[in-house]
Amino acid sequence: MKKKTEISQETFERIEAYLSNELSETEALKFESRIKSDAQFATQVAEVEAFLNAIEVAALKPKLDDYHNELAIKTTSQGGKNYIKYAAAASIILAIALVWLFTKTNPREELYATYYSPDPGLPTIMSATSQFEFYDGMVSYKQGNYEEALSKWQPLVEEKPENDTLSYFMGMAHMATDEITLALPYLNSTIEKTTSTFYSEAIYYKALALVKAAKLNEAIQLLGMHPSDKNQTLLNAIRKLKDE
Amino acid sequence: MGKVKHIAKQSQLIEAVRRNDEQTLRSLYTQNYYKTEKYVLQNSGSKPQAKDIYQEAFITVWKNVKVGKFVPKNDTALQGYLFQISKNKWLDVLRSSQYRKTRQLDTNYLNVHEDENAMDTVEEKHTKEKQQQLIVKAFSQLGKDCRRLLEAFYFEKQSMRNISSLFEITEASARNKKYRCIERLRELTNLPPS
Repeated sequence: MKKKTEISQETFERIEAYLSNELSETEALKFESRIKSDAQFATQVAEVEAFLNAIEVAALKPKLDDYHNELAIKTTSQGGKNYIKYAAAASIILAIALVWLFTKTNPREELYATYYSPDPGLPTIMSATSQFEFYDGMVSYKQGNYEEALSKWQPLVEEKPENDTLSYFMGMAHMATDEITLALPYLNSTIEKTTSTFYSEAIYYKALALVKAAKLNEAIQLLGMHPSDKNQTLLNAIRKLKDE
Repeated sequence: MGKVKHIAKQSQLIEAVRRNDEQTLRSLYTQNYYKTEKYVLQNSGSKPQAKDIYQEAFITVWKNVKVGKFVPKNDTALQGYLFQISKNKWLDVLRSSQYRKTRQLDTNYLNVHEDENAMDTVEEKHTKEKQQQLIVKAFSQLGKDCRRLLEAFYFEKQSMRNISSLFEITEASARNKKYRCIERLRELTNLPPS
């Protein structure tokens, strides 16, 4: 970079305005014809553009390292202080979620909130080395780091899409992050396997997900086909909601 | 099963990436890292290598989103794109001279290319890359105030009005300060040609 021609503040701000699309159409056209006819000007524009782009990259780079360090903290999660930081973050998110829930005052949301509680997860057996990644994700899941759990399980799902335990917990993690539409396909996939340990749980959560998705009839039908005490309670609540 | 498509959500995500929304960048980064790490580890790489490749890919994706080179289609989510770029970058490393001598690789090259500047020649791309590295390095040598101001304006997209109140100066002096910071940055990059 041997150039370093003078660029006045006025010229600089003009170029900047052009690059950020702040000029009117006629002004921009004039600007562009000057780029074509004035080589030195064209160089200046290119230089300013390079600088502005690089400044953004320079600002982003240290942030990426921060994000990366958070990743390490989250996975090992030993630092008490950091734990508090995340707990605080989690409670803020929870508070926002609650505010959102209650300001919405949607009866379906209320029903969902009453009957939904996240699946507590499986005991993590660290000796099961062959399933290390799954249990590693389960650790995150149980700590409430659902996004992280999802990210750890995602590659496993691609390897074993038919695994019902995996699809069940993918569904659970999506529900816990309030991504109902993402959760449903996984729950369906668990339910496909009628012998699954998680079969009845998956039915229950699917019904809740359907409530949230405003598909009350589907939820009623589903629960009707799978009678149990727990399902009956939910079924009654949905029927009552529908009558109102 | 597989990916549930959510185009509306994708465009929201892309909008947020464009304006450098920190929460979005953070979760995009943390949610997708492990997939790349796994891939690199399974293909003769190490964790630090995975981190480097992923960060490089992340910046490429972020740039491409900004210039509108990534448009979400039915089957191409941003997350998938990020992984493809990481994968391609890692394959490039494996294919590079040091590796080629010793290993025979499966060259299942993917057809998603980063396409950073299709019009540029390889050489131009190289020069641009070098220039950018120089500026990025110079940026870290700037004074704290300049760094903060430039970051607030160019990265956080804060208004000059906000920035001027942050620095407790008038808007006009904030603009002038910004200009002088850029000038300083240009001086710092104005090294004798190597």
